[in-house]
Amino acid sequence: MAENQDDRIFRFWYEACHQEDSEILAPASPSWAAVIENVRQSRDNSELLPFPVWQEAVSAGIVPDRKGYLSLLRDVTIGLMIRDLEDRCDTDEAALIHLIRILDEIDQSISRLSEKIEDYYIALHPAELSGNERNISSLIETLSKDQTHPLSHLAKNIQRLRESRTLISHNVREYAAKSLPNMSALCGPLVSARLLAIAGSKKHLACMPAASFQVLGAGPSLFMHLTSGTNPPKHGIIFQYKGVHHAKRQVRGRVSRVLACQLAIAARIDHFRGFPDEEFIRKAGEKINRAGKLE
Amino acid sequence: MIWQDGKLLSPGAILPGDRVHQGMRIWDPNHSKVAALCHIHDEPPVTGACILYLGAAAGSTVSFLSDYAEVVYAVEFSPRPVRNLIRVSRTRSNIIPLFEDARYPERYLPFVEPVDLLIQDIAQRDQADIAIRNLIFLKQGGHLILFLKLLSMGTEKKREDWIAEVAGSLENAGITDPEVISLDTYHTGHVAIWGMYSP
Repeated sequence: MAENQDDRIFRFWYEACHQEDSEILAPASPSWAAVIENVRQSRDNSELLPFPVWQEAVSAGIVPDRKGYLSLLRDVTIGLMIRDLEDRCDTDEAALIHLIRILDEIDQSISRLSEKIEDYYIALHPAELSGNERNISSLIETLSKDQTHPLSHLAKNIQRLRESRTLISHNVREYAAKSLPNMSALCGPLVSARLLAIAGSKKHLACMPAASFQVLGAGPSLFMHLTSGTNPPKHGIIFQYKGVHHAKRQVRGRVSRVLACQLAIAARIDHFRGFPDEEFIRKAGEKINRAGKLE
Repeated sequence: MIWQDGKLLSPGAILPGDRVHQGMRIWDPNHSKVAALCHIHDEPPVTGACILYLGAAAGSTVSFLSDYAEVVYAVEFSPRPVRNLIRVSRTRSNIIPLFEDARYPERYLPFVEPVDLLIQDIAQRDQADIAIRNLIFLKQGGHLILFLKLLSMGTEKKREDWIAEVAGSLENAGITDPEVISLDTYHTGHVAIWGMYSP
């Protein structure tokens, strides 16, 4: 029966729910996935006619009344939706985007909590704040060893959070090297992953002009520039790449511009070819280095 | 529509997170542009209607509309809110969710019937263009309500110029006397454009 089904051409979506043995299918039935697949195929081949008329579905004996028509239509469209969602989901890309978001969130939580702990400690031990010998991480280490201290448990948890951060950042590096090999070679896996997370997908990234790469993540200052004419932002996320933030002030704009140009090319290679191009990486690296030198 | 003590109420099943007044959910104008339109201007003809809603997002406005309307076709193209939209439509039998790009109405033509009311809430640059493409779904004499997010239109023209341009292009497409209603009291930077379709 399944073979017959594949040969049928459906003019309306509800015909797919109707089979030869005049059994009406519902989401619970075993061949429901096949029904959805049939509707999907007919839709993608543009075989379906526009504007289905519910009375016809009733007279064809597929649904009893309008209510039945709507609930069957809803089941079909929910099925289609889930199927389309599955289709659009690129697991490597989605993992990378969400891992980098989690990573940034962990970073923020660690620094906020550490700051609060430091505040607490300084408030109770004003004598010990002299000099730099006591930084936050050593403070947390001593606190975590001191079992009697009220914050020792929290300090231990922060240390554990740091460990999970390291694990996740390894994961991000792995995924970035796999799914954005050229970009990671140019500006590092974490920065490329952040660019990807802001753009939303590799396709969006590949369609972006280089100028957008340069200011990706600098939205507020860009719109400030567009609406009230302040100076335009020189760099967004790519400022986090050490080549940009270590560059001298005078050349920083130039480095970020050249880097953005090369990243735009790299993103396209990553999306359309999907493997590293050594020759391109070498040349692009040279260009970026040259931009960072003062004349 | 049901009004009580100056609040717009909705008779359907209560979803988690809804505020309730006298056993009915409150349709908050701060959260929903349709409710804001009801508070500021006038009620759209939703009762018993067949509605196409473009830009349904997570489906909160759609769930309220479905309390009054006969059926709501909800189009949304962003994968993240779509999950919530599926959840909402599973609990309500008259929401038909569609995971499609509203720019290409031919993709969902085979599932939607002619509608009495077309509501669009899409923050895109070509908002007016999307609305015009979807006018094929509107019955003769049906209403179009377009929520225009002016920030998404770009910065090269002034607010009034954008509104005039959109209203003009809608008029060319067959919308008679598009009325411009500012929603600034509840939603900053949004206007509603409301007109009747008679090509």
